Amino acid sequence: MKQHIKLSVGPVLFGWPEARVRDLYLRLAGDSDADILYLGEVVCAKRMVTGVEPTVRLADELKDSGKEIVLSTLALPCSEYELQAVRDLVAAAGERQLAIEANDMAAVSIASAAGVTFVAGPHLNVYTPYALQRLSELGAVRVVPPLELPPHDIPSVAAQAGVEVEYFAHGKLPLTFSARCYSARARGLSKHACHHTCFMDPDGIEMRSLDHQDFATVNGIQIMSHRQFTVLDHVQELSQLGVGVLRISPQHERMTELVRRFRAVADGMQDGREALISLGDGSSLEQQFCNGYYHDRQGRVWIENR
Amino acid sequence: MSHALHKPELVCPAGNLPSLKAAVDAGGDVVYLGFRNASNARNFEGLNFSAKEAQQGIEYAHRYGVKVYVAVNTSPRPGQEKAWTSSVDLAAQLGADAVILSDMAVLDYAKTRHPSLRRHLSVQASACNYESLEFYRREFGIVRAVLPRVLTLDDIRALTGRTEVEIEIFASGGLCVMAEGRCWLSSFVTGDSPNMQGVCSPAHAVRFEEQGETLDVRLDGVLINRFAPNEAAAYPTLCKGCFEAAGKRGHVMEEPYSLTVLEMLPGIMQAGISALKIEGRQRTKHYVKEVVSVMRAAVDACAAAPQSYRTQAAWLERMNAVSEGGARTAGAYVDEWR
Repeated sequence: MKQHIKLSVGPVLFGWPEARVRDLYLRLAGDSDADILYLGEVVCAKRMVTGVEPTVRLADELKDSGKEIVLSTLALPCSEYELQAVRDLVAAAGERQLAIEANDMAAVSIASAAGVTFVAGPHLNVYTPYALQRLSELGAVRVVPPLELPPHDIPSVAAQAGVEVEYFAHGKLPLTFSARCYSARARGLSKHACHHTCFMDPDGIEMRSLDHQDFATVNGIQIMSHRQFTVLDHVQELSQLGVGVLRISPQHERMTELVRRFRAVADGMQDGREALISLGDGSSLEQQFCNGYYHDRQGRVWIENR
Repeated sequence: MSHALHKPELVCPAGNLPSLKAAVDAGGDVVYLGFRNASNARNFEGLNFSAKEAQQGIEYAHRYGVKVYVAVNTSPRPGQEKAWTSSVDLAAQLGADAVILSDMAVLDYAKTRHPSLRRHLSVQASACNYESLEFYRREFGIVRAVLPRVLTLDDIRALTGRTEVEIEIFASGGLCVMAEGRCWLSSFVTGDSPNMQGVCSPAHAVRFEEQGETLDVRLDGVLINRFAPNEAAAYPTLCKGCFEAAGKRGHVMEEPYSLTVLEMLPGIMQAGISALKIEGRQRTKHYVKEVVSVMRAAVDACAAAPQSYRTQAAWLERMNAVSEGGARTAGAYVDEWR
């Protein structure tokens, strides 16, 4: 029997002021369509001006919302300060009996030692059934597979490991991390003295090819796709594959509507393609979205459904 | 944290038998290689070793007291694990001195089946802190790790004091500007990635198009660079391409520079680093000979007299003559680069 597919809202990947982050999640907590909310800074520790405290405070505010709250860790913790942020978040999760999203093996190691359950985030290299099995033994309860991995062979593997699968379902694709800050570089600054320039760009900085084609997004130390990846028109297939959760990655506009559309499509109340067209800007889907990774193709391309 | 002076071993690239011999003859301490399939992160056309070639290469290296490491450092798709595990078996059978691995399934296989074969953690595993390194040591018995190019030398010095795992860093060659193992740019544009197919910006996706006065470089159709007449064009790696962002055209991610640590050798030798890796399995035997010779001379000179060590102009000339882009950078090892 087909299961009730859950919807999650991923961590905010962009440089947003605390108030904007809080506003989004409070709105989503009041909206019944999202089941799981991921809070926390994944991309850059320099955005965590006051450490993990705002994330933990927001988690406490959302405690009675009826949503599952997960605390997301940094993807590239290099310094002692960054490792400490991971430890602080794991400790806060442990005290509140929340799970963390581990985006680096350091977080897996720290959470496992503390007995805190975790979601294996998309930035862990989990490509094989064995890896998933081992992470499950260490306390993983859910996995968000690497975005480049096609979904079709994941769920059966995950079921064997007793781990729920969450598929990255909508949003700009977080493609890579670096030691260098590309937002600072684009504005002639350095990471060392970045002046939090990424806070100027709620959806990142657009990067185009020299012949003016859309290509990518600069987001601090991360490069993302320019287009939004979406599987809104493949929700039923993903549900049938046994995917348990669909992740919607935050953007700065129309988030509650986006979540509502996914719910309507998952519940069979609306056709996925129609929902996508209604979300779009009137141009063809091919010009607005990408879904190549879903089809085991180049991530940037759009493959028409039917 | 201070460390005693430590002379790191020089780990040299071999994409084929002639390059392996060049690396051995030029004074490498170690040669690393991969088999001819998707099980390693340099799965390029016309490159890598058959079982017979690997056997000949290992015999040649061992005859001169040089070690051989075998890279099996990509991830198998579910159901295709055999090509990876048999590569580990073959490395063990041929007497390799270590295997360089990234996927947990392959690490576990090697640990279980070949416990006495040294296991190194590949850069593709993207372990950039001591918590991760200790995790892989506890779980899979790794004795060494190659660090992704995201740490400063100060970060590395702090890290080596906190882990029992030997540390190997990239010292020369092509510069990955992203955290290795966590970069999907290549599969985003071409469908093939380092983690899954062992390639980045693969040659089959590259097209050069003359457009009147200019030369366009496309990667699977995406324009990633445009050269003026007579402008030197390095291999078109995606992250070294020219794009537009924030109203400016240019190398948004990185210039087509090569990495070198020649200037930093005294600091490196005091940072507790066990090995220096030279990138370039896809390069010619001439390249391997030149770069290994220079690095051999530099490491020996620095170890003999670190106080008076200076980078020699002749070394830089030889490096520049074979390096892509001709220019050099210390990359993330210095904070300003970030």
